[in-house]
Parts: sequence; structure tokens; C-alpha cells
Amino acid sequence: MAIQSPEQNLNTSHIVNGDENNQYLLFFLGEELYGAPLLQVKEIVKILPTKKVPFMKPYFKGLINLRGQVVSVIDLRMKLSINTKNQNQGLVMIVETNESSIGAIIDDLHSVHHFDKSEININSNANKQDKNTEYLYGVARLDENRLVNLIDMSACIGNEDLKLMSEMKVS
Amino acid sequence: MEDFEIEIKKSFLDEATSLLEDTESAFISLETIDDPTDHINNIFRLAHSFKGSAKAVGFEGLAHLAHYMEDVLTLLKSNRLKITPYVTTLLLKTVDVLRIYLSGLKSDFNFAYDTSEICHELMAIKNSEGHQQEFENKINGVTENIKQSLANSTSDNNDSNLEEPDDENTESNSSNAFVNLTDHTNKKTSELFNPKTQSTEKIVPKNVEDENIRVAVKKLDTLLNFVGEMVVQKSILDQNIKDGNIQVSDLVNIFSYMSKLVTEVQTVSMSLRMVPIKPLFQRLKRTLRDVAQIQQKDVELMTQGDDVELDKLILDRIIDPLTHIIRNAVDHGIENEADRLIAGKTEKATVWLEAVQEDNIVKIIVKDNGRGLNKKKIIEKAIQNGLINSADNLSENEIYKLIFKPGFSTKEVVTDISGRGVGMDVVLQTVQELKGSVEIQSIEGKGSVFTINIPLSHAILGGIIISVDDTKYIVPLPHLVETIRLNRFNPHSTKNGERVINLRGEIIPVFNLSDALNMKGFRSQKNNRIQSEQGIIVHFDNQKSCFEIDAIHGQQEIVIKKIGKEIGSLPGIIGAGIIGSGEVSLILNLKDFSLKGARYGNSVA
Repeated sequence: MAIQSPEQNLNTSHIVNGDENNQYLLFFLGEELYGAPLLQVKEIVKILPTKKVPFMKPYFKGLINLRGQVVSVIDLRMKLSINTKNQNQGLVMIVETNESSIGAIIDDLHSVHHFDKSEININSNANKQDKNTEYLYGVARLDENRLVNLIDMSACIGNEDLKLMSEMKVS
Repeated sequence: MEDFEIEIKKSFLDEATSLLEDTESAFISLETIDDPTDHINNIFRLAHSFKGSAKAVGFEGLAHLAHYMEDVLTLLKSNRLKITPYVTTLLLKTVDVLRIYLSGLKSDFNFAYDTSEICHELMAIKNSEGHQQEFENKINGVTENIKQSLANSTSDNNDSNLEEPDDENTESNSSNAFVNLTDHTNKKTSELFNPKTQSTEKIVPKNVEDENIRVAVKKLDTLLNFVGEMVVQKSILDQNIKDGNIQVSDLVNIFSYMSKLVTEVQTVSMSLRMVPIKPLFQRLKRTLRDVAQIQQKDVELMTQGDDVELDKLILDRIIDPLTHIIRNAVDHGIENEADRLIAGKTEKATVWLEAVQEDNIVKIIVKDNGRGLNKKKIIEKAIQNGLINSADNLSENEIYKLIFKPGFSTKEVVTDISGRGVGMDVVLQTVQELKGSVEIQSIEGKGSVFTINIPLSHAILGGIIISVDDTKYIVPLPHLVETIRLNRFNPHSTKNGERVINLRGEIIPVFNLSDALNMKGFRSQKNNRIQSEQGIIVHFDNQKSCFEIDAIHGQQEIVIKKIGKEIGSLPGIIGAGIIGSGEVSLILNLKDFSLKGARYGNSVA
């Protein structure tokens, strides 16, 4: 699980000796901190020009050529409806789904952090009703002032139907 | 289970499957070969080694069944038992059982399958040595009526109802008789004449797709040769760099040779996945035989193009549709002997199965000299099932295509075509998923021809690069007919609101690609002027369409890349490719847009 961003000053001092299952990749979307389970993240790359695809939902940015592989890229901020003046959007997080890879545009990396179970607060069932935020499954406390929104990347961009119309069969 | 145990079990299962294919073809040929001695010896060896290996890797159940089969084969070998249709059918049934057993074992080494029935039958025929004829007569006599009623009910309940519907009475009579007989008859023998017995229908383990392929050693040698050459060229270049001795002309030479090598390696590598279609044809021969036997029709299958090669994945998927088409050909297409004689045909009907490779496409053709498709009946059936209102605007082709519509046949054929839920609509769907098409031709009274066209899945496609709205797209070369300067043509408007141009006497509809790709604001075509200068003419199913585009950027060999499912099933998009500049570009299937355009042209906003 390589994090390929040599230009970024990655603060990894937070990595405690825990197993991989408890490690999270923390990143910024706007000014908010989000955390994705490290095991879901395949790699991080600098943003590449995307090729638009017709008939797809608005947050579907397009396709990129990732070392010869064609990968779909999603604007994660748009999908989560995060409005911010921050124009960063410099990185793409590649998530491995069951068949292929999908990328999500993020603003900046923060760190890789290990959260103990005690530091994590899984959302109660109330929020699960809204299918759109099912993948935001909890909150973790980073330090005294900061909370991290835990997001299940596979559920968020992996398996969902990204097509604009679900039934696009032409007779 | 230890690792090595798993390994040997797995490799046995793979080999066993192909052994079984060989055995099946051998069984089928048993009936028609004059001197079957060599044949039988061969089969016996196959069965014997099968039994031995199965036992060695610990599959006792398999070995057990193989043992019974071997017993029967021993008797056949020494001529103590005669090769009769009953025997052949029984052996083929054994192959079926073995196949299911193997397939189950592939997903679970502990898969248990009750083979007691077939073992009993094998033992029974073995014990009938000396009085084989009597034994068979008894079985035949008991089930003669069942066969008869099966044949009657099969030809009554058919998918497309193309024949004259039989009397209500006969149908209920024969099914009554069927019910009565099964009550009184030995259940085992009645199932003998069903290609799919009840026990096999209950447990059908999921089809685990073979992860291994058999590759001709010659192909591998060729590939290694070319790779060797490439290594040599690499060393030459390496050496030149070290010596500091690089002339541009040298580089050009090396590059040019490398290009040739790369092309060859590419061709051979892609051909590694290709397997000959012959085993598929053998399976179909078996299917045809089974169906013909049940219906008591004398049908012969002729094959051609056995060594045409197909990508393995395609082969795996095309077998069900083809099986269905063959069954239909025998079931509905071919008349029974009496009718054939009346029509002045030979008693023996023929089905031709042919594979041909043209360009980038493999055509699989199923032809029969049966009764052909009855257009009137098809139209009636379609109207009856609410698929169309009237047949006014339908071309002959479109009428035939009606049989592919889901809901065309409401009755499921009980004995024959059931078991896998494959209907003609699924056939079309499967073929389309393989990016192929189906064509039908027919002459009433003479026969029908079904052609399945499948594009060979080459990873590299020749295409032209076009741009619309500042985005580049790829149109596959095989689709392209010509490019034209649209501003030289005057468009006309048809009564459907379509725009057409007259190209050297041909009327071709014109679509605007920018509109087709743009979800917002489908321009209703009141603006009849053609905006662009450039147009391309593409053709599908012998119909041409013209598309307005912004510009053409040239022709290129495009590497087709796998794309995720989220895009894979969009209309009009076959895939994505990487063009020379490194950009990703979508590969368009303009056929979908030409249909869409026509439809939107009709409904003016």
C-alpha cells in the first residue's frame, strides 16, 4: 500500500504499532478531516487530466490514464456536497473495488493514523437510514480539538451505480 | 488438506474434464463407425486411466462410477455386448453424470453426488450379457408409450407455435397416458430417455469457469522465438549505448525491426487465448442427437470450420445460445419423417453447423433444411402476446427478429428446452453482451439459417479519431464506410422528422453526434440545417447512417483498455482506448446513437 507523493510532507509520527486494520488515512476535503481505512486505499497520485464521459452523474469527473490502466475518477467533494472555497483538489486516492480501481479526488493528505477502538465512535442506526450517507460510518477523535469523519471508501465510490440513468438500454 | 493434495486434485479435475470431452465424442461416433474396435479400445483406455487417477487423488465416488462404466466397456471390447442405441445413450448419460460430478467437485472437493441410479443401469446392462436383446426390448417396450407421448407433447408445446396447433384432445390424452404410465413404470427407465433426468436437474452446481486453458505447444514456441529475438535486439541497443556509438540510422533500423517483433508477439499472445471451436461442435452434435432421438426424427449434423479459433471466454458463453438454436432447429424447424416425405424431401434431415472467420468477426451459422419460419404465425403470435399492434411497417428481417423479444413465447417447453431457462431472448442478450449480433434468413418450406456474428476480441483495434465538442472519440474502423464533406449536401426532412441526405442515390439519415452525447437539451430537429462540415458514414446490419462531427484527427491503432462496470454498459460506448498522445478516449458504437436519434426524431418536443 504505497503512498506515492514524494512532494508531500507526510506526517507519519502518529503511526503507533497497531495492526493494519486500525490504521486510517486522514485527508482533507475542504477544511474537514476525513479518514478512510488504510486497507482500502491502493495508492495516491497527483491529479491527472480527466476525460469526460457522457451520461454520467455530475460528480463523475472522468477517466484518467494511470500507467496504462483506464481509471474512473470521482469528485469526492461534489459527491458529499461539501462546499468550500478551498481550490486545492490536487490528489487522487485510488481505491480498489472488486473488479477494478476507482479514484476519488481529495484536497490534501494529513497523515496515517492508528485509532484505538476507544477513540472511535460508530454512528448509531439513525443515520443508516439515509442511504446517501451510509458510508460515513463514524467519527474518531484525533486530538483535543479535532474530529475525523470516518468514511468507507469502498461503499462510497466502489459499488454504487454511477450512471446518470440506471436503465439505459437501447432496444 | 495438504497443499500438494489440493494441487493434484485440481490438476486431475482439469485433465478429467478434457478427457471427458474426448470420451463423449468417441461415444457419439460409436454408432456411426463401421469398425469400432480401435475406438472401443481407446475409450476403454480412457475410462481405465480415469478410474485409476480418480482413485489415486482420492475421489472415491468418481472412481466407483468409472468402474461400472469400465465393466460395460470391457464387454463391448470383447464383443460380449453389442453396441446398440440403448447402450450408447446409456454411456452418454454416464458422461453427463460424470460431468456434473466433476463440475461439483471443482467448487467443493467434498461434493457428494448420488450416482446409484446410473450405476444400477450400468450394472443391469452388464448383467444382461447373453440376453441383451431381450433386456433392451423389455425396457424399450415399457417406455415406448412414454416416448410417444413425450414426442407428442414436445411438438405441441413449442416456443413459437409455428405449426398447426394440434387438437386439444390429443394433447390431454397423451399427457394423461404419460401420467398413468409413470405411475406404473419403473421410474429409472422412463428417465433414461430424458436428456436431463430429474436427479440431475435438482443438483446443478454452479458452473465454475475453467481457469486454465490448453495451449498448443507450437504457439508457445513461436512466442518464445520472438521474445528471444527481442532480447537480442535489446542487447544490441544496449551495447551501442555502452560503446557510445549511436547513429540515428542504427536506431531507426533497430526500431523498425523491433516494431515487427512487437507486432508478432502481440499477434501470438492474443492467439494464446484462442481455442478451436471443435469441442463446442462436438457438444452440439450430442445435443442434436439427444433431441432428435426424443422426437424420433432422423437428423444428421454436418460441421465445417472445426478449426476456427475463438477466444475461450467467448466460447464458454456462446455454448448455451447455440445449444438453444440447435434444439429449436430440430424441435421446430425439422418436420417429422412423414411430413418430409409429403413435402418431397428426404427422410433424413440435415443441420449444418459452420464457423467462418471474416476479418475481425467469427460467424457461426446454423442452417437446416426443415420447414422454415412462418411469417404469418410469428406475426399472429406477436400480436397475441401484445408485442406489436400491427405488422404494417415490418420488413421481413424485423418480423423474424420478433422471436427474440422477451415474452414472445409464454409457454415453456417442459421436457426439452427447460432446465436452464434459456429462451430466444436470452440468446440475443448473451450474443449482444459479447458485442455480437444474430441474423436470420428463411424460406418457408425450405429451411432457415441462423447466423451469430461475434467480433474477435482483439486488444488492438484500428480506429479513426474524431472530435465533437472538443472531446476526442474513437470510431472503430470496421464500422466506418466513408467520410464526407457535409456542407456539400442538402438535407431533406422525412415525415418522421428525420434529416436525410442523398448520397449517390442512397438515402442516409443524418444524426448530430454532439446532440446524441449531450444529455441536456435534445434539440428537436426543427433546425434542419446541418452545422458541421464533416460527416462520417458508418454502417450496421447493412444500414448506413451519417453523423455530424466537428473534425477528424486521423487514424490509429488503438489499444483497448478494460474499463470498470460503471461505464461498460453505457449505450454507445464499447470501451476506452489510449490514443497516441496518451489521452484516454472513449470508443463509440455509433449504432446505438443511430437508433436513438431516430427515436427522438419521432417525438418532437
